[in-house]
Amino acid sequence: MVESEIIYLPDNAIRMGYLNLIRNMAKTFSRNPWLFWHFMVRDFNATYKQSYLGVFWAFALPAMSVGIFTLLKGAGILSVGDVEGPYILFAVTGMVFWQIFSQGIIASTSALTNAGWMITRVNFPREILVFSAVAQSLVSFLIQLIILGILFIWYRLTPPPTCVLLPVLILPLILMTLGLGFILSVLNAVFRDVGLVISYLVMFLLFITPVFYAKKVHGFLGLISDYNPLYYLISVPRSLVITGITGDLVGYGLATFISVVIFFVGWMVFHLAGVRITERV
Amino acid sequence: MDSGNRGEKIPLGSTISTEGEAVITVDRVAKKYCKSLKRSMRYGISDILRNAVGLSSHPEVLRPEEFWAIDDISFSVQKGEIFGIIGPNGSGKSTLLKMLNGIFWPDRGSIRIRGKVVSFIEMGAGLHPVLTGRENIFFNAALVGMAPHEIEGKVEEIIKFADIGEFINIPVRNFSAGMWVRLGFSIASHCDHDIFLVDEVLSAGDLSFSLKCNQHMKTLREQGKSIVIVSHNIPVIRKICDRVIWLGKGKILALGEPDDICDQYRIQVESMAD
Repeated sequence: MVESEIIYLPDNAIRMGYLNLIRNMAKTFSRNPWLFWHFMVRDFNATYKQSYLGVFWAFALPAMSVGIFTLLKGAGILSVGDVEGPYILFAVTGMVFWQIFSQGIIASTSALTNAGWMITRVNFPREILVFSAVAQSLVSFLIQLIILGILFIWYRLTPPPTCVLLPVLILPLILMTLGLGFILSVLNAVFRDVGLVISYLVMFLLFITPVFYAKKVHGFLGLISDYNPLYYLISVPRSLVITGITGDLVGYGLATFISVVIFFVGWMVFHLAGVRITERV
Repeated sequence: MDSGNRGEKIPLGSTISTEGEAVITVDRVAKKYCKSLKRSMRYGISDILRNAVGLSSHPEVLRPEEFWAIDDISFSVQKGEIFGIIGPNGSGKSTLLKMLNGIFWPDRGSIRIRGKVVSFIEMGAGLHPVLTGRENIFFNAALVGMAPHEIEGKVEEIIKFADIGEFINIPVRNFSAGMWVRLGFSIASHCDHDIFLVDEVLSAGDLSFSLKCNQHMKTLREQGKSIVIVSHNIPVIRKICDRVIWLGKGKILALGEPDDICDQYRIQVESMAD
């Protein structure tokens, strides 16, 4: 049997050097695939088994938000601009992608603090908690794709061939969610205000990102959207799913780059924070 | 524990450990805690940020409101030894065990661990309330890094040792403290890891289970495993430990033969009670 030796030193993380750090981070999955599976299944059951409506919750909240916006638009209270395709399809698609981000972020923020009892007693790779939280939002996403399919049938539209790219298209959004999730979960472990504030922050972001309305070209809001990576990460997949053409590829490329950077930085900060979180959770 | 993401990991290849080789070496270790919550938050963020950019967080320096929970402790645990830790409440025993488990890092000194560690510390450790007893066996195995097939063969043995009857198929949240201890200890001690850490939570088990545990720990010792046990149950410490350490206020007060140390401890406690 290969014997392994571990040495614990003060400020352990920085002594290894960044290369070793990255190698260890990558090993998180290769060493513990079953643990990840356990957490995924447990989180899934926690969300869906104990609630009466179960899987319907994945549909309910987005349906309600879209319903309200459609109502306001129809009554002339809100004008949403020129949208691609029928408004409901536009809004639901946007919402479904947005959910990956919003649900992922909110779940990750409290992932560490909720598992406090385990973290202070058992030595296991904590990033699995955040990965599992975001995986949950992906599971909801997959369920919501069903509604999307139904809507396409309802409007008698055929999805363009670019639809096959969907798994690839949402990847940058997932990376962004994970990166921010890592950072927020660490912050929340130290400052509990973060968890309280995050739902409001996410709602605020929802309103300034063109999810429910078409992007304004001029004006202050237009300017914000130009520089908001979330706009590109959501509207480009949406365009490619509904019409098959998009003009924002440069922006999407930049947003992808930012997402990858945030992902690595976030994971690394999370990894280095390791024990400091345990002491405060 | 085989989690290299929290320490340097140097595989030793197929080195055969000789009898009496140290599996745990604790060298001049210290750990500090912060008394004030607000300051703790500030220190936490500052430490995280400094580490993130590669700077040392100067753990050896005591900042305002910090105190040493463990101060300059050195000892070693040999292979195939049962090592006991005794001392009054608040002397740093749990903190020390957590450092051996890799949950906390020392702020001074170093800890070297040879082999895989499994621990059964504090109520609720590793058992998930919503899952049943049986499901928890697999969950716990995954937590300590074991694959389902590795634990598969041992499931019946674990259930038999725990001896909780029907409750094995009931969610763990409905267990009594004693049943929790039975299942938890049974899972942890059948994991086939080299080092086993166990603390006073073991006392929640009844007399017959207690005797079973003592016997099982002796069997593990014969198999070459090392055990570190923290307990207030002095008679048990006397019976099964090979060496004992007495901790007080974060420092080692004495280390040596179980009877010797336990006598010293008892004398001191009784003289203070008068």
